Amino acid sequence: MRIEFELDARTITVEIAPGETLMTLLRRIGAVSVKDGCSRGDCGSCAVRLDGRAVTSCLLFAAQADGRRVQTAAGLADATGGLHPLQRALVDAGGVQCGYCTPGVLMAAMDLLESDPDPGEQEVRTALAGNLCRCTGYVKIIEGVRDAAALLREAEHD
Amino acid sequence: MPTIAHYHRPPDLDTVWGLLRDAEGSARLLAGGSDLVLRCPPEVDTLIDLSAAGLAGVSVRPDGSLAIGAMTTFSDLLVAAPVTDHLGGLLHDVLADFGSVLHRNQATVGGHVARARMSDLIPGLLAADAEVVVRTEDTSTRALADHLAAPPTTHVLTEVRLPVARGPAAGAFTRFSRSAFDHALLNVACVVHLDAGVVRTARVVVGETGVLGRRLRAAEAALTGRPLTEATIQAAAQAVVAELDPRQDALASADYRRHLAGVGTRRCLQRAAERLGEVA
Amino acid sequence: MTDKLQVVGHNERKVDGRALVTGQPVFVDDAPAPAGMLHLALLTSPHPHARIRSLDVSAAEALPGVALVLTHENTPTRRYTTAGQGYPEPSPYDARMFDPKVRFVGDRVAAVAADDLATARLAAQRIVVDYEVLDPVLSIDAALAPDAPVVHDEPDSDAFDASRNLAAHATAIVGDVEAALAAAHTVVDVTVETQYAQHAPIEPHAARAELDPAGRLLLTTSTQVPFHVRRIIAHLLQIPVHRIRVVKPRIGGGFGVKQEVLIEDLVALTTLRTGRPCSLVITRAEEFVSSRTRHPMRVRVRLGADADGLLEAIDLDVLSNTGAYGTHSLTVLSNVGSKTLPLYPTAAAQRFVGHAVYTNLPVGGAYRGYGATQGQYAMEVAIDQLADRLGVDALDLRRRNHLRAGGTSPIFRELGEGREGVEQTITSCELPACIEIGAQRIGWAAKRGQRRRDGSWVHGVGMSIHLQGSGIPRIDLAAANLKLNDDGSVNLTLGATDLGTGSDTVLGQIAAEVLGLPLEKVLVTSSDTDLTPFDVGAYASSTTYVSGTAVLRAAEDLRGQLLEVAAAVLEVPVDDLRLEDQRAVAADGRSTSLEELALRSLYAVDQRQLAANASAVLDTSPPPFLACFAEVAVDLDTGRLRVLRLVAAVDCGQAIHPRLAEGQVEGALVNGLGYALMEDLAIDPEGRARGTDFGRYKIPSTLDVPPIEVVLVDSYEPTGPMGAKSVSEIGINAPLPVIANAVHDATGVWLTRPPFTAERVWRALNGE
Ligand SMILES: Cc1cc2nc3c(=O)[nH]c(=O)nc-3n(C[C@H](O)[C@H](O)[C@H](O)COP(=O)(O)OP(=O)(O)OC[C@H]3O[C@@H](n4cnc5c(N)ncnc54)[C@H](O)[C@@H]3O)c2cc1C
Ligand code: FES
Ligand code: FES
Repeated sequence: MRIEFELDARTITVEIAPGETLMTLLRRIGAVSVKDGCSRGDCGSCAVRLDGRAVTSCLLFAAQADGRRVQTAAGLADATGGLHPLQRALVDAGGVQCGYCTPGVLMAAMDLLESDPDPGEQEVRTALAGNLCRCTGYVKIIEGVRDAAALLREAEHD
Repeated sequence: MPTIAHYHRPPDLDTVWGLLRDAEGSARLLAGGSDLVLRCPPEVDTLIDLSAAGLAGVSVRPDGSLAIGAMTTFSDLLVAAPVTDHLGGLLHDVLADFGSVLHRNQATVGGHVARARMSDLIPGLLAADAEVVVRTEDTSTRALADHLAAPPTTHVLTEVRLPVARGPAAGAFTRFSRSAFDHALLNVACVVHLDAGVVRTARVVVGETGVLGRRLRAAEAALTGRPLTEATIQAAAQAVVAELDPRQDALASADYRRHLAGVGTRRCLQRAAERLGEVA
Repeated sequence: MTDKLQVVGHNERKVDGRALVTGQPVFVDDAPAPAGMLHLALLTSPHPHARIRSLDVSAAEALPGVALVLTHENTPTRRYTTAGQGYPEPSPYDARMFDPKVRFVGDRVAAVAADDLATARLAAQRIVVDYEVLDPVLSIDAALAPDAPVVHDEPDSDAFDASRNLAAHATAIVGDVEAALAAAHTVVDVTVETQYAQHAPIEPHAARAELDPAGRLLLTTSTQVPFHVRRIIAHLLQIPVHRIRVVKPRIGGGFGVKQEVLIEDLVALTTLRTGRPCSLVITRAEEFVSSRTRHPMRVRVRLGADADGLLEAIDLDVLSNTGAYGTHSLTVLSNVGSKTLPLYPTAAAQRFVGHAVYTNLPVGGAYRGYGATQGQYAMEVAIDQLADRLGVDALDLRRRNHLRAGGTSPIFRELGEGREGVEQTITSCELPACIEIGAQRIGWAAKRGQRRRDGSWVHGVGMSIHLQGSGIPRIDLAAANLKLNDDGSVNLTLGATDLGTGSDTVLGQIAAEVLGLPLEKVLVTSSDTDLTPFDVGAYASSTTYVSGTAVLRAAEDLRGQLLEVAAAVLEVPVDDLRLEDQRAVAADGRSTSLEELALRSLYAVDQRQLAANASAVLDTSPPPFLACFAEVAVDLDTGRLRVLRLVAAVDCGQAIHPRLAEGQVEGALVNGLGYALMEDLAIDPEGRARGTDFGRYKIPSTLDVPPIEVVLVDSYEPTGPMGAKSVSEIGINAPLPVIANAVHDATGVWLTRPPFTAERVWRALNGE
């Protein structure tokens, strides 16, 4: 079947097998910032935002994205490649080691930052609980997300 | 990858039902998809996506009972005050620790109940005497407990209802697991309804792997007709330990599960008592 | 120190940070599939121990889209080890690409290459295998039983004593331990038994093979050891090393499991046989079951001490379960001794006896900590038990006994990595400061021994101390090249392998510092066997210390060349010049830019490419040190254990990049925390690993991790590059003992069997 959806502000029209997952579809069409860490909804490395909500794309049928808006980590930077404050803060805080979990972490963190401009440590922990990271021990990821919130608040004031 | 040939997203419930009935077992309803993606049986070739059929949302019905649309996600449920306040916060206990945000954003109440496996929600719903609205050729409302005992083979679950409590009532829920997000080894939900300072009715429900939610009648009997004192609570917890015959598996021994059920019951009843303003 | 440094000691942006945070296609499986690429699927053994009587692959081959089926019947039969170690590998050559005998559930039986993954998987399921099922060996004790089935009954086994299921054996004896124990004032005797754990990198093993236009084999793989992969694949497939190029792109974590040549042989052979590109990404379940694990061990420590708590004897007896193959069996085993005993040199009598046994269970391998994790757990619990018995503060007991700067241990000489070790004197040790700072931060004096109650919860604090190494002395070789470009930037090419640790950044910083360059003008290319010089790879905590020394030497060489050119330009003696801020500056303040120097030497006068190459093999392996403190609470009703806080004070020498160094410790601590609290591959009675996904095998999430404070203590290692030592492994050793000791402080029970699940704690509280 053919579906049409918005992927990081581009319209995608693509032929899919109705049984394939959104994760497989996205990786197949080159949206490889979406990672496959488990294919079972356990690790969060495949997280994307579907109509503005972070979900695990390995547990969605691609067909469910028809007519909807999908955001990935690759779409966060601006058109000229300028890093989003969240990207900047995460990498500068040391929240990126191998970087395999990073795209998923960014998606879950975006969800949080859009609803909570000043999240406390516990809020960040809760928001990222579905994103497994084996490298960082989370300390600097949490720091990075809170730094990003501060950067975004500043930008708001300017 | 499931060998699905057809995908539908019908605009209303009637069309959903028509498609489901006509597919004669070769179709599955698709809610969030979090369960179905991994477990779609090979004979299924059709998906019927419920997301456009108008089944999402929480409302308060004229009689005060709560209606939770089958397609309401756990995220939406967590911010629905009438639900989280119900029975003093029983479902807040359930929802606050339920899955991760990624999962809550996708999983729906209807899909969860329909999938009918180890559940952190069902014990709470059973303790709250929840009902379900089920669409087949016609629409019927039945107790969740009855529905789970004998679900109609082909049906659409459209709504979960929480009846209003008559008089003071409160409940609590607790779960035990190895890590923050883990299959619970065991969970417990309790609800007590008071009448003039004594327990009029009580629900004590324990869930574990393979048991969606079992009411422990002896514990309920130990509570009924008594004031909700520490002694009553202890008696109920002891009754749970005596009555429960839990399983033994890789996660925990039967002994330990039995012990946890007692601790969980005591803690839930104490919290329910606090919520009722009774001194526990 | 740091204030004089411009780049080293500063938190520079990670050189690969931008690519990673924008989700660029930088991992093995992100590259677009080349035309005609085949996908591999594996068929693995359902039996722990069986002989393959026959295989029928006809149904698989008949499936449209199937290109090749590999089994023991049509693949090379050379023996090898999958352990990616230096040549000759100290692990036994006990494996074959495919073996007619399978030795654990998950062992390779066949691989199918097909046009797409679904077809490959379907075809793999259609292979019919006739097994002669053999009695399995499912525990250490079963392996050692007199009439135990023999896991490796091949006649040409080169293991220590395969007929008795002994893969490896190691000993070190100093003094008369039995006599010293017999004479000691107090003796404690502790046995711990550790479980199987898996590294669980979030990126599973992935590899691709293709033929380049010249017909050479190009392997792109998620490996920690590109040069060892090249050598081992050449050996196994009997093709010359020069026909193979191995490239490591970004990889999604390793922790030791990617120090193993696990899948490269399959994609390589498929490509060589078919001429088509080939890809294999193993599933999460295969990662758990069929790849590698931490060796489970039974470790017994006996300590003898005088009345003041001065240690007189340490006896360390280790049984390690290496599973079906002996990968890293000898070296991990030796490391239990060589990374545990030296911490306490006051004991004049020390003995280490270790055996690694074969079983029909998942295969042990290299895993961050590398034996130190298991050994130091037993040792640090024993030290606390001794303190408890003597009524001495656990801090004081350690202070009286631990290794110090200027000190040494006979064990350094007696025990190396599978062979004799190298004598060394400690040239930096800030352990006293680490203990001091950690104790203060956790509030040791106020909290220890208090058993504060909070409802059903009781609180306690504990501590432990640790060391690791910095590379393998006189074995690990690293090399680096530097070349100057027109604009004064340099290309730094090196064999070292960045697995997410940030070594490309850290090594670039060292070059930048020496050359007076900002980090962005050091262009780092690593881990490509065609383009970069040799390096053993990322293991044994070697990269900063050994590879860093190679980079430092190359940079110093290039600096010398630059200064010579500058001396000619500015007409001053070389000794009057220094490099600073992208310029060569003379004592009188005149200067010339590196760009001018580059242009001059490339295009104008005395033309040549300014470039340098340097190698490093070091005589020592200076240990980093760590003092770890934990506060825990135990629910007496349920046995639930919560770690409330972790404090780790670390001596890693000069931290080249403090934030990355902290990140290494934090990551290692949380990895160890998972091992202590929840991680367990648990084997069922049929020998199958139970943990096949992250639902069953739990690793910590944000909500399982307490607040963690890492303090990098001021330190300088004179033999290290810019004063640095290693930092990436040490943290993983701490959680087991520090939590066990804190739980004892809270409750009086000793936990000797991880993971410390609520049920285990509850049983311990009930005296079981
Ligand atoms: C990572 C992860 C974490 C989880 N954590 C928890 C947890 O902490 N506690 C817990 O209790 N559970 C947990 N679960 C289970 C989870 O809650 C269920 O998977 C989820 O609620 C299913 O909802 P869904 O909307 O995705 O259902 P779907 O996958 O869409 O459907 C599930 C099944 O129900 C049927 N169905 C769907 N809607 C209806 C309907 N309206 N009427 C009739 N049949 C219908 C479908 O045909 C399908 O068979 C977890 C699951 C995952 C994957
Ligand atoms: S790949 Fe989707 S959650 Fe792990
Ligand atoms: S940075 Fe490696 S998994 Fe998170």
